Amino acid sequence: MTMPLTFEAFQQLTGVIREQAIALDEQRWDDWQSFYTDDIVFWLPAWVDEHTLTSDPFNEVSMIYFAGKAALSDRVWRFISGTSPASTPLPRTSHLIGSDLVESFTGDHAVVNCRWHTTVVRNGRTWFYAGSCRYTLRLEAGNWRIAERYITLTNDQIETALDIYHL
Amino acid sequence: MNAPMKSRRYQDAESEMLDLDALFDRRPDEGIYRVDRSIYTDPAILALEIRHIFEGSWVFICHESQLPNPYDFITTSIGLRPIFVQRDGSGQINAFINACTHRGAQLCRTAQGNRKFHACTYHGWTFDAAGKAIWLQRTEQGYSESFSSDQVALEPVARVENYRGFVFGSLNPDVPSLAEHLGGAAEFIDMLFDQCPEGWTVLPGKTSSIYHGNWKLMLENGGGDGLHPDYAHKSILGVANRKTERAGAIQTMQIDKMHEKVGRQWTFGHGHTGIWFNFPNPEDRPIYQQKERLTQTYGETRATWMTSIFRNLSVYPNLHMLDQMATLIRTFRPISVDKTEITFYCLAPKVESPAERVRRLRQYEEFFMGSGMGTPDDNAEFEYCHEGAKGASSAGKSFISFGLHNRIVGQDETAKTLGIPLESSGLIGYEGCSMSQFDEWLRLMKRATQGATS
Ligand SMILES: [Fe+2]
Repeated sequence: MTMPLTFEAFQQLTGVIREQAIALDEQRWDDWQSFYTDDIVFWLPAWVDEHTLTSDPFNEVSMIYFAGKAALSDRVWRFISGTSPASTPLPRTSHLIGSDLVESFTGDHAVVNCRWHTTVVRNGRTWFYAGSCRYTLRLEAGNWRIAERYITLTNDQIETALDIYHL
Repeated sequence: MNAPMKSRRYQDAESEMLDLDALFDRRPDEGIYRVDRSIYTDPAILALEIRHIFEGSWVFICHESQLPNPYDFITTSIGLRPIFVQRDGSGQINAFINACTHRGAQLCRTAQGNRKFHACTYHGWTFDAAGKAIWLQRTEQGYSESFSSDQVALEPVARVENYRGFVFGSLNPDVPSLAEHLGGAAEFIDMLFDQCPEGWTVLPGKTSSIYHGNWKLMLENGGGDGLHPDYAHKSILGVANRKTERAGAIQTMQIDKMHEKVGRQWTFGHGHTGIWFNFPNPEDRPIYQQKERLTQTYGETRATWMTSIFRNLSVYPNLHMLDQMATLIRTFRPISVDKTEITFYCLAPKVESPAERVRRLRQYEEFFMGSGMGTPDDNAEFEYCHEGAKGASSAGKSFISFGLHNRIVGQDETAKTLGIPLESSGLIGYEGCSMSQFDEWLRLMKRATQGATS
């Protein structure tokens, strides 16, 4: 059941999305993880052809698919460990989020669609990744938390590496 | 006295200008093999590689499951040359240079499709699935009576052969049969193929990645670099450890300290190489659920090889068929001397349980592709190698000599038991795999100047 969206609720929802992106740029990894629920589903499907994405993560390839915060923490643990050559040094990133659209809102549950663009600088090279993202947010103890992130990557030929700090 | 120069073809002059033998210090019996790092950075060498390796011998082009139906096509490349691969009405797979013979416009313009005829949108010339030009514009008015449309048929890839689902092509007609080319390497393909009676398919979702380094860095890495996982992949080995303490997690295949397990590295000849060792946790592989059935059909030894042994196969020059931490095809090609494209396909039995399918996918995604936690670390090392290679001097030769002095020429005991012909073998980390690749490299690169044909 969709409820009318107050300006305050809109600010809170989009604020979580923006703040988690800023946490990535500022490499505040604990803060970043705190925006996600324990049962987070993180899904970045692969492309099948020019305009078709894979649609079934249990039968088709995803670029990233995991459920649960432990898998999210594994990723973070790995790239800040100093033992991943692709992430040591980490790139500079600059996340830009726009075209936010609240698709549904029920008071304690919301779906927000947006577009994202991340500029990446590493080892003398500059490139970008961009796409769309659908966030499903849930109100937990008074705070909006991200329970699902469905991401599409428009430019899917990956330059060296793609990790969650790029997304 | 410049007459001989005139009759010599341009490419011969080019290869003679480079003293290819001087790039190597090859003394395996003394335990020494060194490679001049300009081999990774010299554009003149890449130009020769494109002509004599990618356009001169067999290269992997696709898996047959990418063309399930008659008239399905995909677009890909052989080296720098765009091709399309198509199944014709009789089910046979053919490949053509993807260019209209009129003015060279790319004919197939999508990643994949299905059509009986290819009509060029530029001037309308139309070709059938056999490459025959079946319609041209205003032929009576524009061309003489002696003109025949056979003169403008599509340029075929001279040889296309399929070994158990793996489709290879050669632009050079003068190559041995694919089976002869593969030799003992085919045994590793058999060990994959025989796992499922219904056959294999690549799962939807093809991905690719670029690294800024020479293509041979990927080739050598997947051709049997058993020395790098404990270092380059230390971070994902750490993730694997974290997961063992987590109930219900799909476990990662354990590959740390490979050298402490039973295993070897093999060279098959023609630059094909492999690495294998016993997995400590084979029960975490999806195919392990089939072990009983496979034992009944193939016996205990072969079933163990199929289900419980890490097997990495590198087919020179551009295919890695991996049946190890996950099961996949990794194929790669040079874009330029310092840029390489890698394409990944997850392989799966056409028929498998939902639980096995999910395990297969998650293990594949966790390590492989540019978005995994393994591939990026390899890509990064290739880039650091390429950057380092720019510092090459006559003294700056890579020291690629591990396990050479105690290598076995010919079959080792395991290969004898399995009946697999080998060129040589060594312990885990054996860098004779790279030497074998470069031996094939030299053979192909020098072929033009020596007039040999295979
Ligand atoms: Fe690796």
